[in-house]
Amino acid sequence: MSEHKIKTTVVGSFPSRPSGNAFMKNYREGGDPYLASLEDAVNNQVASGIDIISDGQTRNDMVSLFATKLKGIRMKARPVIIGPVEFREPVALDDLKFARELMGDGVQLKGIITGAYTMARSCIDEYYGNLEELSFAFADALAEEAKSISEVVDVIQVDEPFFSVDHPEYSAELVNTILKGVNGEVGTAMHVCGDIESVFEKLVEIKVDVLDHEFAAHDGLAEFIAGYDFPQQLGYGCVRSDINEVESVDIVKERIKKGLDLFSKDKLLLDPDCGLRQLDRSVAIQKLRNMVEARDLIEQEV
Amino acid sequence: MLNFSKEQMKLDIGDISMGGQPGELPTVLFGTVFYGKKYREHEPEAMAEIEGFMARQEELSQMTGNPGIVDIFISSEEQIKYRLDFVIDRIPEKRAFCIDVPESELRAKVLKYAGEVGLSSRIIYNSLNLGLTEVELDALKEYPPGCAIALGYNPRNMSTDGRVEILETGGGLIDRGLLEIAKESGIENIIIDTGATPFDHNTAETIRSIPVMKNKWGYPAGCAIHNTVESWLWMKKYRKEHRDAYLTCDMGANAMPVMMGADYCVYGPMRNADRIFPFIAMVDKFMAEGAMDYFGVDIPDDHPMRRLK
Repeated sequence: MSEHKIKTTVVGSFPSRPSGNAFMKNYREGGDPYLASLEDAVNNQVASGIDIISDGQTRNDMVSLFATKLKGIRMKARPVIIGPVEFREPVALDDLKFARELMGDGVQLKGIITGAYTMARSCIDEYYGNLEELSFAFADALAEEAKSISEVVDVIQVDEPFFSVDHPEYSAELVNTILKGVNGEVGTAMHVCGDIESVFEKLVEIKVDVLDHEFAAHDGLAEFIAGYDFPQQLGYGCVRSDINEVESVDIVKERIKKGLDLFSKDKLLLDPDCGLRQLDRSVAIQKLRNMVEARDLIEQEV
Repeated sequence: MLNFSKEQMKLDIGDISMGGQPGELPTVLFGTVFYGKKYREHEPEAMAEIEGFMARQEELSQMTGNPGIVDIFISSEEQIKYRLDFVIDRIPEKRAFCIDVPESELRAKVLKYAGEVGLSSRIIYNSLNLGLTEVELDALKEYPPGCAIALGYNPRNMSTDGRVEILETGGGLIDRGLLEIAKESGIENIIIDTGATPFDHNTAETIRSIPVMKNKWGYPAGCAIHNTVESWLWMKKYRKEHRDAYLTCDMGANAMPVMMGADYCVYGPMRNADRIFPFIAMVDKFMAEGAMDYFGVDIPDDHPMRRLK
């Protein structure tokens, strides 16, 4: 594990994908064109100096990745629930094992699970007729996924972007259900992007080690949150993931310093605001490098 | 038996016709030649074998009424001239032929050669797919083939919707849909390949996509469903001692797309023509009777339904 006092991580996705020709070679000859993308994602995160990396979620978008592997779902442009949602087979286990083989020592691995509520809200329900029931069906199925990957990861993160716009009463129970069977040595995190000021009071009730949010894109959020007393560590988004331009090291440093003025350094875990899927690959790589460099410079200054 | 509310295009490609309502026109059958190590060096014995396959496919085509197309596999630049010339010299004067080329940049070279020797209008281009490069796009615009197969293979979403996406919008994998690219390139005749996938990869969507796409666009559609059988892991072992069973599956699989409205089948190695032509002629008879009896579709005189009493 790295010696840094302030650790860096990623939210999840990395913009690496097979070329059209690689897809077509696979189509004709068999094989897995995504392994090269996964390797590219892991190698670039490690080379950038990230302390806790992901597998890059290169195979699919966050909803389709799970929807294609669970029972009870018909894949359409928007997935359709046609029967009981159940776990069929591990979704990310093989990729995470492969990532673990590639990354070497001194780096930790994060497994990412799209949350039950986000899955439920992203599908068309033609079976349950009840959002809460569907959400808990997803939570039970995803709990199996969490259990399966907990053998190979150091941290499991649940992504619930929908919680920033719609936060049901049972939200904490959904996340807790997913993480209930996870080995106690594995860290837990929840990522909610967007403006979370109106729901933060509820988010702190969720039993995870890290609450991860977008601080670079939401000016004033850090000050707002600093007014709360909460036990979780803070995943502190300090690099924009919605702008395809690299911020200078100085800009990222300023953002981190602002966080350090408000929170203790033990409270902060640095990362980009969200997944990097939408960015150009070279931009994503440079953003990660600048984030690590900004952290290093700040640690030297301190 | 199916009949679509959307008007179904009938394409005249060289001296054959393809498309229409299910059962209306005989299914066009594409047999592949030059695929495999045996044919790589163009040894005289192997070439004589291919010549025999092509002659036999044409005989079977004349007998059943199912048009036969030669699908020419090309995997290197050195093969282009020899293989095209070899086939052109042995098929009817106006007959279209299909070029089956895995690599994008090599496809561009085939287009250029064919354009320079005046063969562009007879080409069925296999295929416009997500492996498209700028070099290929330029060649398509400069030497547009008479007909192109747009491949609905979408590795991110193998549902019917996903396959439609790659043709309509590019599905996020290419910047625009393959159908738009075909039109931009000046290709007049477009046919759709729904993109056969292996078992456990939304295989059935390959078949389901046929009526969906025909009803959406009206283009002739089909697939190379034998590839699903070819990639079946269990069968790879079983066929070693039960070749007949494998060949039955390989041939029989083609009934499914035709019964769902497919206008053509890419049936695999042309050496299998003797099995596939009578088989598809039989399926076509069922389809044609169903189309005529229930939907009042006119069946032409050269259809297997009328020829093979």
